[in-house]
Amino acid sequence: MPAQPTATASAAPISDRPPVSLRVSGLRVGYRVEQGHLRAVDGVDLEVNPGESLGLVGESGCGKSTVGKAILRLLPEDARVEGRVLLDGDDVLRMSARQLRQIRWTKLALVTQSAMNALDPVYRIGDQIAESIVAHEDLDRRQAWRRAEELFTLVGIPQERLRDYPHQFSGGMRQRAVIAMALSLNAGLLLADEPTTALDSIMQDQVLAQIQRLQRELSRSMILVTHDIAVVAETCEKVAVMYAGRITESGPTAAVLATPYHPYTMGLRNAFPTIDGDRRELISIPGNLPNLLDPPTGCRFASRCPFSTDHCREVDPPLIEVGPGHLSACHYPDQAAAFRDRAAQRSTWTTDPGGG
Amino acid sequence: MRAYIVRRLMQAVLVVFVVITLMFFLFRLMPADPTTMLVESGLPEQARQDLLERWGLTGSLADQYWSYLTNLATGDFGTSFFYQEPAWNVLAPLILNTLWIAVPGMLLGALIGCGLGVVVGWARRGGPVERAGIFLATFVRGVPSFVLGIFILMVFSTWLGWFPGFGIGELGDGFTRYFTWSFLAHLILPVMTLAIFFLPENLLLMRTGVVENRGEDYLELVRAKGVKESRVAWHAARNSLLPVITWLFPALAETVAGIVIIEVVFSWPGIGRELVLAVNRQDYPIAQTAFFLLAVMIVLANLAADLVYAKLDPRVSYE
Repeated sequence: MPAQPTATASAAPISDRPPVSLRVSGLRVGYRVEQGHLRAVDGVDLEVNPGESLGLVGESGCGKSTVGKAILRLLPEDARVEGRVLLDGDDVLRMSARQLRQIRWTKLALVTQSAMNALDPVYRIGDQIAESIVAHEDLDRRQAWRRAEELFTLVGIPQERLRDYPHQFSGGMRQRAVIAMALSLNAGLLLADEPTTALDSIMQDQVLAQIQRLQRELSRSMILVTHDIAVVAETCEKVAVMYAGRITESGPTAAVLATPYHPYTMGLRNAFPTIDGDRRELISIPGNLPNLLDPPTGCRFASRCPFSTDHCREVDPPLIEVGPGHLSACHYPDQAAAFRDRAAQRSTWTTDPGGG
Repeated sequence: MRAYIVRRLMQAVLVVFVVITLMFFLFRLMPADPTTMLVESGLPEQARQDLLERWGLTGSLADQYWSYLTNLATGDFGTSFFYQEPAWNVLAPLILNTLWIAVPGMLLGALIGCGLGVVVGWARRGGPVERAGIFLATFVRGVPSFVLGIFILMVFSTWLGWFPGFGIGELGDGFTRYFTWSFLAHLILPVMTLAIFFLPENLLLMRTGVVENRGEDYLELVRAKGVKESRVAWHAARNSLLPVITWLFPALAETVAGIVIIEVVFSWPGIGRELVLAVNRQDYPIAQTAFFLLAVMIVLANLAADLVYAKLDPRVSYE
């Protein structure tokens, strides 16, 4: 296990920053494409209190990464973003370029998937970490480099490897370097976008444990974007499940995963092998995401839902409270217990949906 | 690193050897031997035989090749028919003249071209800067170097009269002979022509690289760090430099062709102009030596580009 950071006497003077709160409301992201208007994110609300961790889950293409990038304002210029992203009460979407530059990495730091090239291939990793520090702190390069050494110690990489280039690192080391970089300025909120997807399962566990430990020890707020509901189960206090650009279910992780109210969450739960060490049969959800250029009326999951009714295909279900802080967008919360039983059986998902 | 340089140097020597060999056989493919011209001007048969012997043109092809190689190895490039002097003595003083155009011209073209390439590549896609940049670069690239040279000569020398457009000017003496105002004034137009000739390809390649890098993941992370936008662009530029340098290798030969023509247009006494004159005069040893010198310059420039590339891309191993 990595050693604790070196004594505070020699530590680089990095400003102390409190964890931040994040409130996303009515977030919509659209792209004008040849065939029309693509609604990648269609009305998403999220809330992260200071020090809290939120898992944002869903299959690829559901819009979860787009939400993450919209929060950081890293979407391409042609994206149309509406709604509010309040970071400690300030709307990120309405900030000037200068304000944005100031909050980036100090309030909001990003841990990307480092599989391919999250790091610039032609710069030493230490220089890339130092770059984030000198951009915001009144430190010279030598002090910034010392901070980078502390960070490497924190994530368990030998300090001398700061002089290496990204291609000299293994995938797991690169991921930890990216984590170290995100911690460089004590940013109030960490946004981790698929931080373990590119790693083998042993590395995944190590990196996850590390993220979780650092987030708690350093009391940072965190959003963890992932397709892997098991990762969220291990790491996050709260979870929001996304489907086709919308939140379908959200709430405390324990409640949502133990007693899901939305059939999509039940399906997702089947698709991953272990949650809390509980071995389940792997069942995948047949079908594909609906076309976001022309989303269906009614519930977007209806076409793949084994329990959908005509009502589902006509009327869009609102998010309703089904427990303390637990929201679900399904028309039939009262039948959730029966759905859960049926959802655990393979035959439920293999027969053609459409019955009632 | 040292072993790498030594190996690349040995490769360079090998390439020069191949060039020399090719030259030998190419010149022997020409109809008639080099004395034909001299015979027509009334050379006695005995003198012709003497010359053939002196030039190593008697005996079998293998013998000729051997004496050709040994002559070169001892620095004997033959004697110019026109100047009646050793070819090396004629050309050696011109090497620096050519480098005075080649090095600043190419450096300027590369620096300005790459700089503009970043600007155009970083500009809004489909916006006026991108459109104008691509149009101008493509247009200039389509202009042959002699047209470009003549145009610049006309505008800046004939019409505006700002700079002289003919020759090399008054040179001083000895080591500092190039440090005269006259020389610098004469230098400006040919260097400018070469820079403009060399610039568009740099610009277009750099732009393509920057546009490609704009979508890369690592730039997203750089931007997320909250650094200035110019710093983000710098990362993209730094990564885009690699394909530009790769391109330099084959482009150098083409650029040397451009230099030859620019020297002719501006009557600049360099290797290239002397080469053209020698071909017109059928002054065979000079032409052969000029080819050799240009080939060596290209090989050396390639070597430099290779080393720079290794320096710029940490993923290139020296082993």
